[in-house]
Amino acid sequence: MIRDSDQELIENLRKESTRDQAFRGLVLKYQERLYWHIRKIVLNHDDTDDVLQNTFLKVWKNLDGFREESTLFTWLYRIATNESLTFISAQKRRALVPMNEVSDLIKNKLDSDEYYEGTEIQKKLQQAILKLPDKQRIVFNMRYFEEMPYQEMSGILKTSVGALKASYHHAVRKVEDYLTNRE
Amino acid sequence: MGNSDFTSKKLQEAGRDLPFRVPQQYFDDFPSRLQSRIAQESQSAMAKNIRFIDYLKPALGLAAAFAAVFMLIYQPAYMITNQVAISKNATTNNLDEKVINLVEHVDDHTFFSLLENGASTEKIDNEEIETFIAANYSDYDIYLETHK
Repeated sequence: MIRDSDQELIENLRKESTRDQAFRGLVLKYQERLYWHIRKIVLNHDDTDDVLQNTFLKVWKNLDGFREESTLFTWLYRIATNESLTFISAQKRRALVPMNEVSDLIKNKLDSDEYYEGTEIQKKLQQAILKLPDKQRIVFNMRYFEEMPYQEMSGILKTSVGALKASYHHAVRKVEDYLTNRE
Repeated sequence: MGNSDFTSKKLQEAGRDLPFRVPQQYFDDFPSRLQSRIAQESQSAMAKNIRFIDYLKPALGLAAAFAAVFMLIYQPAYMITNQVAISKNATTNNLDEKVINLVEHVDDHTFFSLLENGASTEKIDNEEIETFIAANYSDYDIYLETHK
């Protein structure tokens, strides 16, 4: 069903006369899923809003470059992931923060975010996730919160299923250690 | 209870729900805001192009002025001087051709002896002059020449 409507979207995106309308349809369809995917990486709402706009802007500019080698969903997720990582890298450069203190920078942003409403243990979980390396963090978020199948993750992150399973396993171990030792 | 069970329990306690929320109407407003941003980006991209052309304009003007000066002054001057040089060359060439034509009719022996004589610094004495005159002129001719 989704695949069919995606195909229709792609066909309409390719035609000059229906492109604007189809793009609006694409935004309406995927904005929420992409928002939550990005929010889990950058955490703060305002930053997520910026990255989501950048993501769709990039999609708009590169519509002709979409070759249908992957599904529309995979392509969008890949762009959103890359944009999120680019955003975090830019923040590191701007703040001139050493790599090991980046998580503190994001944590401070999380503390001051008016759209955060977690319990103490949820905040601790987010802090534990922040301590993970970027790629591991994305894998953990996709698997733990979204329960995304490894096969799908493999298409988005261009990583083998085996490597993703290993990555998730390590991430869970580290998060559990953090939750236990920071009581 | 093993350590692993305990930590899994901690993770379960945290749950899988995200502790985030979004402003009201956020997803309703987002498409319009995005549309404005795309329009803005397109305009700024166009403005950038125009600005780039504006940057180029003075340089292009200057280059055109130089080209005009070159065409109006240098090129005619070059053409005139070139014509003078061509005519000079033509004259020199004509003289050279005449000399070559003259020399062509002279046999090698005569030509080399002419060159040798020309380069000679020997002086002619009176006796030689007397012999030359006696051989080439009659007494009458000598009388006429000396009593003019």
